Amino acid sequence: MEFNSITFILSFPIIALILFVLPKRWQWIWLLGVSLVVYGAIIPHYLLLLLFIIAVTYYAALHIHNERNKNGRRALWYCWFSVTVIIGLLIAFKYLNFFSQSAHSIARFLNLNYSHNLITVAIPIGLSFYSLQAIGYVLSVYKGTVEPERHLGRYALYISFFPQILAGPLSLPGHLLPQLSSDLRFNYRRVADGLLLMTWGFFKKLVIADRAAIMVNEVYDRPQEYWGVFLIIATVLFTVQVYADFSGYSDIAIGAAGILGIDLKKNFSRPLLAQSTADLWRRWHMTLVTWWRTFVYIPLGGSRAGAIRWHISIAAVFLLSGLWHGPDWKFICWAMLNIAYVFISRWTQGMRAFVRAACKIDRFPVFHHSMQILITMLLFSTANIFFRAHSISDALYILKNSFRGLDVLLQRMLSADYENIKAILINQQKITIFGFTKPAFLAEAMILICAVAVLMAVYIYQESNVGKRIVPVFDRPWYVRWLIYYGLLFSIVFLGMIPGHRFIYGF
Amino acid sequence: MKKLVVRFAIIALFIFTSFIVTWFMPGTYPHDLAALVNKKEMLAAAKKPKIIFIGGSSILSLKSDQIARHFQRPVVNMGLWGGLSTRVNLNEIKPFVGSGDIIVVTCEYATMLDPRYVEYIRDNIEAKKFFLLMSPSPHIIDYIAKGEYRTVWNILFDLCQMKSKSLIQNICTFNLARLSSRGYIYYAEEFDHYGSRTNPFKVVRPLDATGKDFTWPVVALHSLVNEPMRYLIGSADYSFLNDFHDFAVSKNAKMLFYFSHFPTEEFSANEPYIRRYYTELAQSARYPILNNPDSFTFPRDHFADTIYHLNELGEQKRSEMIIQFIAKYIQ
Repeated sequence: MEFNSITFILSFPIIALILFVLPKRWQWIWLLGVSLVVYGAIIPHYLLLLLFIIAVTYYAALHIHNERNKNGRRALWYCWFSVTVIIGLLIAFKYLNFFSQSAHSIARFLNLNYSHNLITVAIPIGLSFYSLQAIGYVLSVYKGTVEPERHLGRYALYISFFPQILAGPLSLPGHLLPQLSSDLRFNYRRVADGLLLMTWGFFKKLVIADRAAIMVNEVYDRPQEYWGVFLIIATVLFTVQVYADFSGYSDIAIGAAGILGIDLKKNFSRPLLAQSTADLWRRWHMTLVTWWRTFVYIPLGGSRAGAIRWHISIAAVFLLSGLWHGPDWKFICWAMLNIAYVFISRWTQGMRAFVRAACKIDRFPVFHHSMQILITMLLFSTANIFFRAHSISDALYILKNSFRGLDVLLQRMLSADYENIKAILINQQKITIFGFTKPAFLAEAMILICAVAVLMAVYIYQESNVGKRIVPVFDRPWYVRWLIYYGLLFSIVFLGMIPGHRFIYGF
Repeated sequence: MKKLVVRFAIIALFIFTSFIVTWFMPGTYPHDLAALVNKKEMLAAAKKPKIIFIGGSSILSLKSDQIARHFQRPVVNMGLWGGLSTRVNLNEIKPFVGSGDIIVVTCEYATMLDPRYVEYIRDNIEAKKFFLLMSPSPHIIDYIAKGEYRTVWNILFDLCQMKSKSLIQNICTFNLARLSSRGYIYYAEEFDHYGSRTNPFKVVRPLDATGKDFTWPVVALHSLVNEPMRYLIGSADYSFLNDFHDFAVSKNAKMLFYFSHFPTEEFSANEPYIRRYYTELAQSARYPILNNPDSFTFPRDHFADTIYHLNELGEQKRSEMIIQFIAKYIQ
């Protein structure tokens, strides 16, 4: 059941209402039941995998806790066992074909004989997310940062909680588990807050992401039919799409959980306004980044164990993150580019500070920040070419051809030869422009531009008021509030791409 | 809880009101089939006796001005897309048919002989959508009577969405004059006041040759389908053409039929099927058939972008031939 499905929109209020009227002792059962039904409805037999992971990590955590003070080795063994089981399952379902194919390619390159058989099995939906949540729980118990949850039902709910199981936001046990034992009752402010956040999420998903998706898919599905300006626009749009899609999903998940009385962690903090790659990764998919930092970066030494360890930690986090996103070398390339950005950013820190001082650019902070944001977005979008392209060769083709024909276009633009510009931009052999029919294109492009402008205006307003108290929507005058509600709902209903596309993450 | 429900009801009411307002307010649609609305308005405004052309996009480039000048009569070119049912189109124009009018009908071969194309246009949602926009009440009543509530809701919703998108475009491009227009957003730019294209079709090579995998007349396949296909050009038989002819006679008007143009090469490759179609139609027709298919083939250099669209040269020739055909029936 996807958030943008009619089934979810119709059933969620009923789920919430029943939860609010149930006595506290029944609430976890209701939420767990709903969560398992929601997950099982997608592919029923993968429910067994979920239950298996829940059982393994639940019992492992209890044993780790019991053995930690008595027999540290045994506790470590339980920890390794459960983590290995989950990683083994991840490899079996998600990475086996990738490793096998990669080994085959290497063997072929070395003229060695290696036959490989590909397994055709659907990757269990949400496996990447809930397995990280389960590993995080076991490691937290091992480190002693949380007590193990003794109630199997509540622990099962922690792993399978339906607003977050498919694509996060990931929750650390110390944050989510205690909330699942609390009395979940109707609270007007919470429900209203949650509804507004969900509506904002739907706006991002249906008005921005799904509209951009049509344009991006058209170009990335057949890049060889396009040149320079189309490839650049599609690449920049993909960054907008993936942000609006995933942050929209997170907003809906956080909003839905909030309505039920559960507080999930924020997943994005205006990453499109990041001023450096490092800053971007502090604002993008924050719950996953926190997970990597807690369970990979810091244990590997992080920034406190010298420069070499820092480099290793950063490389490990990005490479694992790349692999986590998908079993494909293009994600490794995406990770390598991001590693390069972070490393180069650190190596050139002094030089950039010198240039900044020499140019006295700090005297024009708005211009300076704008340039930083622009450069960060260009770098991020370039890395995203590998994320979105169907293959590394497609990605390289896009990179190579992104500037093709721009000189001619620029010439025509400078001579204000609009008819000629139109002639070179509109392919007569295609009945569409950027995936939309020719008559519809301008309207769709205008709506996308306006919606992104609204999004950016909100973020710039929030960003420029960081540290100050921003008056929440609910405390603003009634006409402002109603204008916001009406504007968002009107946009979703009348301008949203309905029925929408699937979410990028989670499926 | 009560407060939330009340607020929710208020906002739902706002949205529903917006839906109603959007439906009834003037506005354009960013879809070329919305030109049906403009063409219907043009038809309603045309003086009697007039010449009405019914067909697909193949007649869009017709030299309607030459035909109008030649016969000293208004010409209304209702042609738009081959996928729009000729049966429904003929029904739509009935209220506007008057004494002395001539209705010239043609059907593109693909809609009769290419099963894949027929499958594509069969129950085509875009055709349904814009026929409903052309005459909302009868179509809405028809859908409701048949219990197709979901179809009618989806169509109304889609049309309202399109109108809203068009509204945003017109505001953003400061094209405020279009706010009070109706029908296709680019109608004024792309169509002349006869309903033909302002500019000829662009010449594109290689010529798009889809819609030429012919078989025996598809009307034979249609009869196998249980549900009557209201949106097909021919259903179980060609009787709808005879029915319209009878209607035209009752209004003291005339219906004429001609076989569409086709490239010589494709014609030769499909000759047996086209001949069979011609024979079947000619046997059942009570209306005059202006040509036989052989007489209307053109070399490929007379075509623009597809095997159904003529370029300037081909169009000039075709329009002159049509003038000759019709001349026999106009005193």
